Amino acid sequence: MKRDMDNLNLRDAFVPMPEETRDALMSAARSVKEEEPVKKFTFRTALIAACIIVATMAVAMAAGSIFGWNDFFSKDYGTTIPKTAQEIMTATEPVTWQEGDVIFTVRERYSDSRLALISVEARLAEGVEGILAGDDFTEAIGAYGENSAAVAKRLGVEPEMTWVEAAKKLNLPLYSVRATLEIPSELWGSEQYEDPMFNEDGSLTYFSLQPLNGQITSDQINAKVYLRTKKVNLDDPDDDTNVTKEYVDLAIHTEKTIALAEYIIPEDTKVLDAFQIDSIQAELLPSGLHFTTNLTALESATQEQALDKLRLNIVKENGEDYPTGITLSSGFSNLDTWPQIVYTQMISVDQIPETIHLVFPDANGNDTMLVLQLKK
Amino acid sequence: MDRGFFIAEIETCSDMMYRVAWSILRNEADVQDALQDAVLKAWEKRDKLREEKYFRTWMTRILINVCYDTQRMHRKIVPLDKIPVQGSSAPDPDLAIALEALPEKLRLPLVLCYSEGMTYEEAADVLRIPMTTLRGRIRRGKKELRKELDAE
Repeated sequence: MKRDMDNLNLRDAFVPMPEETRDALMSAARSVKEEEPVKKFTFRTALIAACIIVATMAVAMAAGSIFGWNDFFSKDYGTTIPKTAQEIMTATEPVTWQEGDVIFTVRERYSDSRLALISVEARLAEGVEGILAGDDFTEAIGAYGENSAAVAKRLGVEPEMTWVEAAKKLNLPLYSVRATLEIPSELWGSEQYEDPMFNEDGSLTYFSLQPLNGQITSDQINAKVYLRTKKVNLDDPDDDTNVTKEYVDLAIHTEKTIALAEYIIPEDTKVLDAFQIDSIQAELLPSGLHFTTNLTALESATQEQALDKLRLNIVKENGEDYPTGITLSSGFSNLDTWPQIVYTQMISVDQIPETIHLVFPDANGNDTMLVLQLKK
Repeated sequence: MDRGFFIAEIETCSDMMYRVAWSILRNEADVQDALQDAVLKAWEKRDKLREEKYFRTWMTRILINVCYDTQRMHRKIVPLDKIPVQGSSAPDPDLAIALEALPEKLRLPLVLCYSEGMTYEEAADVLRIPMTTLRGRIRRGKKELRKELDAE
């Protein structure tokens, strides 16, 4: 019997929890004691709550217009792009192409040695009626959270309904689109990410970001944008007959490094008593600040230990995390250069801090914090 | 968060916690240990939970980390045919066997979204991966699951 993969229910793949396990779990829960009162509401949490309300209002205000990268990061990832980069992104005139019934407009573009990104508005051509979706049109409309649930509300359908089901119910054509940035592979850093956000007027903004490896030497990236439109056959969504696609050229100016710096590392600083910290460098770019920590695995270190336990985090003086950098990733990508390890972290700030606070596991695996000063 | 609220929430989440832990550990004794450890750890870290309405996703994230720790501590070579399979006693044995055949990286996103009803946003948050990565894993997971089911 063929399964319906769009209405998958995996609960039947599990046996019920044995009573003995439930008893053990609930005994553990009941064994906890109140002890001293838990810190509940401080001035700082009040401040955070206030900021969240302001941020939410800002997003709501943006809802009437076309979403851009800053909405993408603030709404889904709680971070923002430094102001300089925001201004650069929108400084170039938008460019437009038409693929089938859909008009694509590159509204934001940016690149430096560490990343390249675009945001592309996709909207139906004048006189064309229909629903615009990303490439996951067989999924529930509401699957991407608040933003896509708002689409369901606007269309007057349940958020659990798939895009295909909604189009059938409303008797409207369904268009699926993608618009991704294609960068020469010799410049790739790590995995690219892409995602749509749905604008209030029925158009959508497609976001695509490619982390780069820092090797670019020219002041321009000759990139391409892959544009794809599919008019979905509602009775056979896998049918690709009505697909139009194209690679179009897009030049993106490469922004220069604003500042480089290095921090003083106390002699013999070790992580997990197995990895020596050799240096920590900071590179400030308009898109944010990149930390590169160089470590050497000592003889006692194992690769398994590195993969499982090697974690570094540069935090604020009060122990709070900095806003995440827009590559949305940190860590090391492979152990090819063992015993040398390069650990990276990006944060969203627009200056190099004089002092940083590095949190890492000590010899016993407990988190310890080291305060490091900038080399003059 | 007071003790009463904590106990009540654990009770509500208990079945979900069991399925998530089983998806990773696939061994009743390890699951039992991980569930208890996760509960104690969650209570220790209770001041880190900013809003009580996020208890379920917060608890799931702690549980997954504890399961990974358990997995690392107990890492040993076990022949594939010796890994216990719940399949035969699950309500849908074919589905259980197919799901257990998937790599964990694909299995866990599917379990969070299609057994525990999390949105993609919640599951990405729990697994600490970008939503795009999650979507990719779901897509691949479904494809692999279909392949496994068709093979039976």
